[in-house]
Amino acid sequence: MIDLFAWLILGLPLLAAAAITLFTLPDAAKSARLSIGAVLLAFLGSLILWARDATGEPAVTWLALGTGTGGLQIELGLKLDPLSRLMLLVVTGVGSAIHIYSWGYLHADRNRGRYFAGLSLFTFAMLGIVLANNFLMLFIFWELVGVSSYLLIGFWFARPAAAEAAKKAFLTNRLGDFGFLLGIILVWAALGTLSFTELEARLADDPAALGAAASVAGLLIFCGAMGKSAQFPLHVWLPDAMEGPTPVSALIHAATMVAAGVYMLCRVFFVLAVPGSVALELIAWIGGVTALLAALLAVQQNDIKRILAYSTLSQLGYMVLAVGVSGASRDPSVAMYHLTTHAGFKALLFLGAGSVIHALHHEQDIWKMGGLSRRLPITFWTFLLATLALCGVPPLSGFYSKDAILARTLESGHHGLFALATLVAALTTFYMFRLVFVAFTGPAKSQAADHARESPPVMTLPLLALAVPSVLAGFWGIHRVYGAQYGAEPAAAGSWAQQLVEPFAHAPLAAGAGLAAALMGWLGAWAWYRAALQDPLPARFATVARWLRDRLYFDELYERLIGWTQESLARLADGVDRWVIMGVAVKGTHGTFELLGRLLRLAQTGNLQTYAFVLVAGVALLLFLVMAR
Amino acid sequence: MDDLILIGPELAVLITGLAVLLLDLWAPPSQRKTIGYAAAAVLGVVFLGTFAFLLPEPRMAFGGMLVLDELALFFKRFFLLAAGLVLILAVEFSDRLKAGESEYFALILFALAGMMFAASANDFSILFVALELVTIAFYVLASFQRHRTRSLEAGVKYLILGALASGFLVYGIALVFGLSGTMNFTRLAQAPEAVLSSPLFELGLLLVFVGLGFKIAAVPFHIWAADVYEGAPAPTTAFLAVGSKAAGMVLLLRVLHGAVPALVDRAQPVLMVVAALTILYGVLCAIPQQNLKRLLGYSSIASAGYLLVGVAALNAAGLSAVLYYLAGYLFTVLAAFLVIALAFPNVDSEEIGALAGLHERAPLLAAALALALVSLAGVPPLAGFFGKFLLLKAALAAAGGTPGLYWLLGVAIVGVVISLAYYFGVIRTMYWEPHPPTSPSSPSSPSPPCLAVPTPMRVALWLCIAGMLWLGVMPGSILNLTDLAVQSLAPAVPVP
Amino acid sequence: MQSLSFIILCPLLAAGLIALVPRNYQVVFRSLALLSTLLSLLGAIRIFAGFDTGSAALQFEEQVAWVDSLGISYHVAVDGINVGLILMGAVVAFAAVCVSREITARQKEYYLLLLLMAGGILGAFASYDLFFFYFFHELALVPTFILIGVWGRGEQRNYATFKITLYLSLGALVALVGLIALYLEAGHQTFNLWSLARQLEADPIDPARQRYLFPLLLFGFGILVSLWPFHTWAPLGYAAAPTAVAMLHAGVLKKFGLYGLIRVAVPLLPAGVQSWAEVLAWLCLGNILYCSLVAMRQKDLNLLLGNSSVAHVGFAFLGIASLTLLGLTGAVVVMVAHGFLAALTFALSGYVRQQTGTVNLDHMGGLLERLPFIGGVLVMAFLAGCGLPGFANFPGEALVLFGAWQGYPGVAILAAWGALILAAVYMLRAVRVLLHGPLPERWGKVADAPHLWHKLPYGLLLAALLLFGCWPRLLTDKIQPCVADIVRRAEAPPANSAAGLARIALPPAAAPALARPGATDGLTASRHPR
Repeated sequence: MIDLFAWLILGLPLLAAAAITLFTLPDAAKSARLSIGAVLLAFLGSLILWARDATGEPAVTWLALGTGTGGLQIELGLKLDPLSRLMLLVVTGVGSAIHIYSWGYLHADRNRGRYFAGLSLFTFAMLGIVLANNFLMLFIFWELVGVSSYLLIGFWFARPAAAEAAKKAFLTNRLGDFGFLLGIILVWAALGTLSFTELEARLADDPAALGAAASVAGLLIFCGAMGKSAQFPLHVWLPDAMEGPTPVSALIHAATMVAAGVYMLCRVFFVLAVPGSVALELIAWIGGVTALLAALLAVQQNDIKRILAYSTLSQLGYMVLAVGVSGASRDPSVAMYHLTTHAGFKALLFLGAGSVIHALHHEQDIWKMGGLSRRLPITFWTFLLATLALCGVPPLSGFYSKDAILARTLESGHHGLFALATLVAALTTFYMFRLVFVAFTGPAKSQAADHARESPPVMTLPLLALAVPSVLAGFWGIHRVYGAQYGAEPAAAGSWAQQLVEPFAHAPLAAGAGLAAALMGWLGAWAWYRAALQDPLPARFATVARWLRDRLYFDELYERLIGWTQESLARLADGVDRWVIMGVAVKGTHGTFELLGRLLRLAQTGNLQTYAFVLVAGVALLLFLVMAR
Repeated sequence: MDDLILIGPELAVLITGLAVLLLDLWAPPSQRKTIGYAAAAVLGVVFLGTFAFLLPEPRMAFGGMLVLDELALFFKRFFLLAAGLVLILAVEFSDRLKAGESEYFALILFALAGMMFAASANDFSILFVALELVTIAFYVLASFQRHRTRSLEAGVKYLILGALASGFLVYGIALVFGLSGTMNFTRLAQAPEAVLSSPLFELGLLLVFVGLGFKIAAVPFHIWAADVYEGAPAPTTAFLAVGSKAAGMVLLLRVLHGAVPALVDRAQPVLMVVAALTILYGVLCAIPQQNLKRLLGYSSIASAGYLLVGVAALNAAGLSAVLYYLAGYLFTVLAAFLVIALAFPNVDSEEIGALAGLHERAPLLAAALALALVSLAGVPPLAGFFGKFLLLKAALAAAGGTPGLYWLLGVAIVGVVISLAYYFGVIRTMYWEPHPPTSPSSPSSPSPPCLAVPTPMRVALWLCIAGMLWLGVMPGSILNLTDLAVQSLAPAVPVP
Repeated sequence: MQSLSFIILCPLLAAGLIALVPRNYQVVFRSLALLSTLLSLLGAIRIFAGFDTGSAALQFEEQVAWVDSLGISYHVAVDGINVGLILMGAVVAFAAVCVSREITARQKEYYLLLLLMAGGILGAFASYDLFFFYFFHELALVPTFILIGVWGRGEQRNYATFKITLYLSLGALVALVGLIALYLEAGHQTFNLWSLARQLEADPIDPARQRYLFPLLLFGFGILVSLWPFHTWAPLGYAAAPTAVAMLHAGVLKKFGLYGLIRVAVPLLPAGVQSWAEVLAWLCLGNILYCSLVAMRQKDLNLLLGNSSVAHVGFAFLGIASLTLLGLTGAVVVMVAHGFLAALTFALSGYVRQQTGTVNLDHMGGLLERLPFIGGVLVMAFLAGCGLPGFANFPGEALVLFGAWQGYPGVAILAAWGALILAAVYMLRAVRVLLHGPLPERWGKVADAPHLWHKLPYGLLLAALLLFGCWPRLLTDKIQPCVADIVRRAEAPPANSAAGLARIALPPAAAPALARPGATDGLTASRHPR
């Protein structure tokens, strides 16, 4: 029964995608109904699984070759445990809201059929990642989310920017997957299995089973996360991915897919956390660096979606950092905690941004907005709420999850990272309120902003729906659920009051620092952007501002480095093919024989005397050669 | 009396030849073609008649000068078949002879008789007589188109060079006779070691080899081939390519394995070198050819090389491969020349370019020529493939003993690939040359009127095509014949 | 109908019929071709469905003595390795006939040759007799040349035809010499693979000789499969070939070389493989990396596809070189998958050419706007080409990488780079310049495949890719036992080397080399126990 539900949750979106592609592609309404219905049912199923505390591992053999090491047994299996149960809720919940919202957002587009097919395909793949019970299945769905993201970013393929962005996203992800696959093969070669359950058991028996390969395998696997979660240095694709429709950015590039990296790290934590592996240390620092870098870049962006994109990057850095510092406690649940809350409010932020863009007829520059708080009340208030949550203002959800990370960092003795994380918190508040002040308060800075009108209910209702978890997610004891996954003893849930102040009781320094940082950031934004008509920063620190605005020239660097190397290699190979192999070798041989033929023909003069001479000479030669012996 | 029965086929052919000459006196010019067809029919009957011979063991005639064994029968059937087809071809061609059609037919029959005697030769005297009968007939046949200088030129060249070669042959025979005191192969086989090992004897055999090499157009005795093939009338060339070459081959086998079996091992290096040179020369010279008959001339030189590979292998498999290859060669080459005779009705030269678009004017001719060339190149499912397959197999089998054969194999393979190149060119001309490369569909030029293919020719063509396919797909039956023939050459054949 | 001969003969007989029909009955030719290939497709499906999975024994066996004296017999059968290939071949053949709609000139000759090709291909894969194995392959090969020459396109057509003819003939000849040498070395007077395999297992060819026999087969077959550096005929030939021929050759006929290696060279010459595997492993990088790089630079869509297909067969080579269960199984899966994929991509590029009159990528762009179906399928095909899970190529390439890791981790890493990165680079570039971006107004007239009947061939091939991609066990479970057998042979140390030494001691002339008339032991031995 439970198994059936699990299979249905995974299968329905796929069925929807298939049905849309095969039959209802031209009919937008039918397609939308199919897609939305599928994701809603999946949400329902997830709720049931959640309510039933379903556990288990229904599976069918997908591939079975050989036995023992050298053999390969791959199951198509669904792993049901607290981790996947809760993640199911997140994906299907946020997903449902965004599916519905999309219907409103894209009402004008005639290719909605294709859009919803892609959305359903994505949901299927994402659920696959959540439920996968072995590395290869994980990798398969990993690739599938990659491609559905490719299709959705390139939804408006006629726009060159969108097409390029889609290509860039896929290729960057492929770079990560390259490492990921090698890591998987390495693990298989060392342990002879890819099933999470078996791997965990083996490593529990013999933590040194991976031997010297431990660190390498860990880092290679992290490469996968680096690609999907856009960690430095593979972060360049995410901002460009904003070329996709805003709901897509909300679902894929804010709430779920980009978080898959973190989810994967938590899922295979036992591989990363083996003693003697330096993987986690490095992961922590990469996370920290990404968080800081992204936060800095966000400060000077003017495109409302890009600001949010960088903030997503920064928050993902937070989560990766959290995973990295959880080595000692062997419990990365804080990362999942932040992932869950972040999914809620970041999706809300994007949908809010989408609502604004929709209201302003696809105007995305915040300096052409302003004064929207009056014209788009619902959008504004939900947006503000989400912003506060993101900045970690109690009692909103973001505060608790972020604080948990700060606390964990402090406990684990990474003081450098702690300071860095606090700084990031301050920056976060700064750039978010820069956005809020410029876009929503103050005077309207453009015609469009002046005549903006609130979006229809089909778009605002999802906003309200998502506001609920953004506020309350802190009290649901999410961290305790995840903690159970990693065998932490279930602490008794205290009263509301206790939960409200729990962080201060638990780690006052972290909580205090977090709050202080948020306050500082807010003050900065208030001072500079309260009523600014254009950005004051470039005037003050021109160079810094320009570097930040141009994203520290990472894209240009990669363009030169990778593009140039690969291009020149290709040129070389092509040249060799054309001139050496096809030319010298092939045409050369051909020509030689042709020439020989023409030379030999010279003997055929047609002159009888010559012929007679040749004949006699031949005879003489033959006789000489033979008789000489 | 028995002896006369044993040479019955030859007698029948000779009588037919004389009959043709006589009938020509009374028959009105309109009936000449009928005479030709009648002669062809007779040959058919004789061909069937040869199957009446049942030979548990070889039988000698005229004091062992002639032998009738499976090998002889195989080649007699071969020659009869070839001559029959050539006669049909000649009848079609006779309009272009201007005069003396019947003599032409008669000469073909006399040459045939010579070849058939050669097949049974068991004595150097018969060998020489038979060869000369063939050669002299060909002198005339080659220069039969008196109004064409190139035909006359071909005849003269063949005459003089042939005389030269015959000179070497006679001299060689004389040496052999002088040293061994016999011209009979059977007795030569028992000649004392002292004789066999004397260099003069060896010299004699080499000179005999020169004479035979001239017939099969092996390098360096090939020099006449290209010009004569190009100049002589199509039927003559066809008969020259098939009949005369096969006569040379059978005599070579007889001498090697019948007369001096003890020396075959010493002959092997010579054979291998000559084979390699012949293959390379043939294929290389064929590359730049523009004239189809000349190209076939060179390809026939190359074929001689391949045949010599089989001989050089010195094992039963090799010999039976040679016979099989010849059988396939018969149908293939005759098909090609039947097409040539029809495809170039009035033009004086047979430029390949003139074949452009042949598939539209005469699909059957184009298909037949394409099949023939593909078979010559040795591609399934045609006769040429199985022949080459057997040759490669035999050579590889023997190569374990003489590594030199590996080099010969290498040469043979290179040869096949190169030959594909020029055959391919001809096929391309026939099928897609005239059209602009972009769209093969649009007929660019108003295609010339269709060529008519008279029924006898049609029959002959279909016969050749059937033969090529039969030998390529159902090798079993013919293979048994060739094996029998090779067996009859035993005990001379060394069985490694 | 559940018979291999039926599958093989359907197209051949139809070809014979077409030869007899007068040329002004245009419609007959196409319908005959469609009918016959459809029939053999159904036959192939029935055999695939009726295959007894999990057994390494020969199934659906048919044998007729052909040339007793040489031990040649017409012997067709399937085991796990070729059952998938035959199905693939039949599907592609049917699809190829379907897309031949574009051919209007000289339909009689066209369909006749195309059917010869199809029948030959299926025969080559079904044959268990080395002679017929080679015979059928040549039967399919020669029509290829003429088809390219007569119905081909592009200004380089003549040179391409010329080149492909010489290259492939050379490869075939070298392979033929290798096969004959193998037959002679084995010295059992039989061309029958099954009995050869059994006899050589008991009494293998002495390793020293295996070492010079194997390269003959490796490079002979290698040239046929465009093994680097003998690959340059392929892109050129496919760019010039008419759509259906490119589909059949790149998809199916090309696999003959790989099949020959797996079926003949590896099991019969274990010692030879062991000493050459490493060379092969590094050579195949030439295919995977080098040709991918070359593909990046191509302006002509067909040249790009040609190079990518050369790159893809590299994985099959790598799988063979790995000599592991996973690797070899992967190799076979890759062969089947790439068969479908190459056929699909060439079919699609043929459609695009038919619509736009060019395949020059510089003139393309935005076509997805006009070609929702064809373009959509094209995107999927390209994604399958860069090894996306869900398509049959993924399990194949993944298995090869897993298998190769055990022997050649270095090669495996580079191959993975080629599979995941380079392939993605040029495939996505193609999507970008061909389908994405704004639509140039001159393509405003381009029309999508109108109705189901036109969509059928593409849908069929895509469905096959998806089926085996989502459920690879359909193939792997069949392949595994046979491959396990091969791997066991290859890993076993050269058995009873005493015999080997004895063979060396003997004078070479004494090696049994003469086909004695009436030697029928080949046939008697070839009846395999049931």
